[in-house]
Formats: sequence, C-alpha cells, structure tokens
Amino acid sequence: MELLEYQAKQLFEQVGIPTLPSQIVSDARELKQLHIPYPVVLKSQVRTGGRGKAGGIRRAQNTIDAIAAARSIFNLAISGQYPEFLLAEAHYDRTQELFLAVVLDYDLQRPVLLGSAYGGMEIHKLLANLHQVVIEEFFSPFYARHLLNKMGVTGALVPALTEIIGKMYHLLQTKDLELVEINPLGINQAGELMALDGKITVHDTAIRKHPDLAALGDRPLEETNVNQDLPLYWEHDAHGGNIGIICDGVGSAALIWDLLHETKGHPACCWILGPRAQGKVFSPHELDHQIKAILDHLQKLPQVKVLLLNLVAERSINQKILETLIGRTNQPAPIVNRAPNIDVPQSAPETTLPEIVVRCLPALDNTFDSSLYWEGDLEDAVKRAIALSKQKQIPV
Amino acid sequence: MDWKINQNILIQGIHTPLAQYYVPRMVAYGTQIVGGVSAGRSGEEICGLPVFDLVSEAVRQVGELTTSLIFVDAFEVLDVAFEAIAAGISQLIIVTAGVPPLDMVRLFSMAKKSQVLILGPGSSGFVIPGKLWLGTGFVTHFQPGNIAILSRFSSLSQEAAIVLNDEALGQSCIIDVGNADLPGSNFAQWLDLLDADPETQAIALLGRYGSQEEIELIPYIRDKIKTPVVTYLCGSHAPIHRSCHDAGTIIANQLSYCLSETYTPTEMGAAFKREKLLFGRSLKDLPSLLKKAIQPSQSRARKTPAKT
Repeated sequence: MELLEYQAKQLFEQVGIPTLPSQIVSDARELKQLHIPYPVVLKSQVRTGGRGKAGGIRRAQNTIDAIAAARSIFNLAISGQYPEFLLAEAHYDRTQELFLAVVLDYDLQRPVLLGSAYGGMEIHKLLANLHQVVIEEFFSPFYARHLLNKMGVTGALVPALTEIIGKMYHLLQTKDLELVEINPLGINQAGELMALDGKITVHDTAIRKHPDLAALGDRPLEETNVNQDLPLYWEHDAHGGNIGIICDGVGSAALIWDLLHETKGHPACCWILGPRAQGKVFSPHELDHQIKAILDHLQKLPQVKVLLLNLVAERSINQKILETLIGRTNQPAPIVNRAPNIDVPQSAPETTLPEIVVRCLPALDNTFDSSLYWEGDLEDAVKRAIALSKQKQIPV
Repeated sequence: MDWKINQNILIQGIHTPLAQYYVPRMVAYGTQIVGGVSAGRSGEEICGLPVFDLVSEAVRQVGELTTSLIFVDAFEVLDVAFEAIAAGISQLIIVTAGVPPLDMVRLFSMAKKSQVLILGPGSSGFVIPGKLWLGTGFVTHFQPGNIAILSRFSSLSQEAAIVLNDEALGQSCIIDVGNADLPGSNFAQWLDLLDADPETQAIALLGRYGSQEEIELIPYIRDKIKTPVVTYLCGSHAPIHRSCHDAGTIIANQLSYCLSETYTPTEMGAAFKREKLLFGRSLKDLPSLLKKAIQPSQSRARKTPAKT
C-alpha cells in the first residue's frame, strides 16, 4: 500500500525529518483560511508519479490564484486518479535537489540505501547517477556515509544527510515498510535540508501490525477493510468475458484462466474459494458465506453466461461446496420468479442463471440438479464451458 | 535428500484452529508428530499430543526434534522461529502466510548462521505420498512414485498430480515453496535437494509466467541439476500481479511508473527452449515430457562419456 504524500510527511515529522509547513485542503474554498504565507505550492494527492509534468503541482501567489489552481487540480485526473485532497505547502528556495531512498531489495533479501545527487523530475539523470549500499546485518551510520561518498556529497552536508538517512532507515524498520523515498530533498543556500516530496510504501502484511499507519488517512483504512466473506476475486479488466470460474486455489485459477484463453474462450471473472488469509480454517460456515457472496455478486454480472466449477479438494469439501452452491441456485427458481409478469415472452436472459459446468475430483455421485454439466477432465470442462458460452450469446 | 524426513516433528501453535484441523489428518497419514508447543498450556493434550510451554522443554521430554511446523499468527512467526532455532531445530515449515518481509529478513540472518532450512511462509508444505504429510492443503490426488513436484501453488500441484496419475506417473514428493514475497527457501535450493534424492527420477517444476526467479533458474537447471527437470508455467493470461525486484528496479518503477521489463510468456517459454530445457506449453504435456526424460537412459548414457 502506497501512502499519499501528506501521510508520508506525517511519518517524516514523527521521526524528525524536516518538512515544510503545510495544510490539507479538501475543497478549494478552504484556501480562504490558509495558515501558510504566500507564495504556496498546491499539490494533488494521488498515488502516482509524474504529478508535476501532468499539471498536478501549481504555485500560487495569492488566494484568488490559489482557488483557481486548486479547482483545476481537483478536476485533473492523473493516471486515472482524481485527488480527494490537495496539499498546500510553503514554497522552498533550493539550490540543489537530491534523491534518497531506503528500500527492501527482494532479490538480495536485504534493505538497501539508494541515493542520487540529481534528484527531482529528471528521471534519466537521476537513475544514471543512482548509487546503492546494501545493509548487512544491522544499520550503522557508516553505511549512509558510504552512500554519500559514492554520490559525491562532501562537507557539512555529510553529517546532516547521514542523520536523515538514519531516520529513514528507522522508519522502514519500525513500521515494516517496503520503501521510504525522499525526492527531492531540497538544499537551500544556507545548506538547510528539507524533504520536499515523500513516498512511503507499506507492505500489505504489516498494516494489521501497525494500526497507526491505517489511521493516517481514510483511504488506506478502507482498503484494508475487505469483506472477509468474499473469496479472493479476479476480474477481467479489459474485454469483459462471459465465463465465471469458481475454484479453490490461485494456481488452478491461473491454469483454468490460461486454458480458457488458449481455447478461445472469454473468462469474465474468477472466485477463489478458501480462507482469504491462511491461518483460518476452511470451515463449512465460511463456505456458506463465500458462496452466498458469490451468488449475490453474480446477480450484478449478467454477462456471466456459464459458471465453470473446478473442485479438486477432499471429497467431503467438494460435496459441501456443491451442496451449498446448487442448493442456493435452486432457491430463486427462475420460472417462479417470472410467473407474475406473463407479458415477458419466454426467456428473459437477465433472469436466467448461468449454466454450470462441474469438474469434480474425486468424482461424486450426481445427486444434484440434472441441469449441471459434469466433466472429469479439466480441458473437457473448459471446452464445454466455451461451447455453452457461445450458444448463450445468441438469445432469441 | 538432506531434508530429514518423518522423525520427531513438532507443531508450534498447536492451539490454533488451523493446526487442530490438519494435525489429526497428518497423523492419520502416518506423520510422526511428537508434540506441540503453546505458551501457557503445558501439560495439556491437544489432538492427542502432549503440549509444552517451550520448545526446549519439548526437546527435553521427547528428545531431539528435526522439524517444526509453524501455525502461529503472522506477527509471532519470527519469535517462535527464533525459539525453534535456539532449541536446535534445523527444518522449519512456516504454514502461516502474511509474515512481514522485514521479519523474514531478520529470520534469514539467523537461519543462515545456524544452517536452518525454511519452507514457507505461506507454504502448504511437504508431502511424500503415502508416507509423510507436513502442512496443509489436500493430499487426495497424490500417489507414490518417482516424479517430484516442486511448485509455487498447492492447487497447481494437485492438478499436475491428476495429470501424472492418468499416465501412471506417481510422485516421490510434492513441495510448495509458498507464496511469500520473501520465501524462506527458493526453487534452486529445493532442486539441489531433489537432485540428491534417490527416489526422484525427474522433477516437474511448476512456476509462474513473469516471475524473475523462474528465468534465473534456467542456467542453474542447465549447469547444476543432473535430474531431468520439466517446467510448466501458469499465468500466461491470468491476472496475477506481483513484482518484487531489486532495489534499482523498484525505484525506476516508482519514479517513472512504467512497467518493468518482465518477460512476456512467449519470451519465457523461448528462454527455456533456447537452453534445450524441457518445457511444457500445457500441463498435459508434462507426462510425455517426463516419460521421455526418464526412459531413454541409453541416450543419456551416451552423452555422459562424450563430455568427459
């Protein structure tokens, strides 16, 4: 999870990394009560890079300027995101901009310090001059001094920057972060340092461990509050599709999704049954909830013409899943529902439930609804689902 | 294999619902679990097994322990893993998923010093069909034989086993390296262990398209592994997203927000084939490729002297 700039800066403040006086603005009119002296910089609070180039960062000399700028920033989507907040910040006259970051390197399995003497928006120059130092065992300030040496930083800046890097590292360690980045770190004529922009990524697993991070803003909290009844869900983001998959693992989900594609089928979505987080038992109670959630969800997905159900768990669990699913799909029997509005001739495709193809191993006795299509082989099941989905595409 | 099997296995977090669901199943499968640890519940019995407050106490009572299965909450994993290592346990299976990566970083430094092998976090475990079941997941479809399945996804292992069983190819063991961003052990380590396993005639490697680790395995399989390895990758079209990289790539992505240079499925398949490694385009290709790899021992015998 990536924090917004203003949230990152709140964490910077907590550990004593210098930031500018600032104010969060959720409506352009709030700028009339701005506590920061002009000129100010207004910054769109979205989770994406390139805000400056996209026009999401603007300078304002007075209130009238600021309100106009704020309105245009609120109406500007950057990479598809509209800001809910702007950050109004004092202007900072800098003579130099640096790039500093502390990152967990997944390949090395160690935290790494990164720095470039060319911070800011010129990314090519920044990357061309990027240096790194790997932290072995535990952090000690000499690692920071090594980095600064590689970056070509000398003089009074060395101790000051060493301290900031130490604080960044401390944040990474204590809050279980993946990345702490300051770009740019501004240096003014007096040699004073200021974190002008900040980026922090929290590893998803650590959010529950650090409630203070979730409390930094409303947005992150929402993201962590996923409905625990809902199974893990994949959706086709680009072209839609008409086949829904229900299975019991990410690997088999990927396998079926691939098979559908390769056989010229169109998967619409996939629900992966089971505990959302391991450490929870796959209990029949949850299964009920999950299947109910899937069926509710399915109501909102009229494009799903066929459900492909792949079950390769234990016999008793397969049985339970089928009973729950078929038991429920039988409840809103379509004919009963349609009886009152006789005007509608025959099949109104919106109300028909999808066809269901079942591939179940170990095989169960078919004591279920006779309208199910049973297949023993996964490829056959995929072919059957595709044939049914095509047949359904041409309603009368 | 260097992995010591089926001797004196401990359950840490035996009080958790997940452990209580799976422990009786593992025991019924023939796994020799000797006890459990759950702080404050010493003297009790759970699933018919004695419970201890401390790992060291368990060692004193039941003797040396080789393996511990960890079921505790994600944020307690680091602590109980340290405890197990301190008590001399050299194999850890971390069933719990969602361990913070920085905890894993701390655990790795300790594990390296003590030469501890870690499977997981988020691993469904280690299975020898008909003999040993360490972990979660389901063993319904596994049959004894000589093909090792090394996989990232337990459900994909099951699908592979179903396909292999149809062609009378049983399995020597099934290993799930888990789904963590920072896994305790990687494919390469397990390929080494499987290479030394006399029961394993060939290895089915089940990975994922777009994963850097699979690409980096290519020279390793080519140069280091004598046992035939047949690779199948899933996710050529599926929306699995995960990109953990080196620090430089993370920063480059972070700054420019362009996607990093991950390989396309076609490129990945081609990379395996370029090195003449056995590569299944579909899961159904596995049995024939594995059979081909095992059977013509004459042609391989011819190759070996030619090299020397």
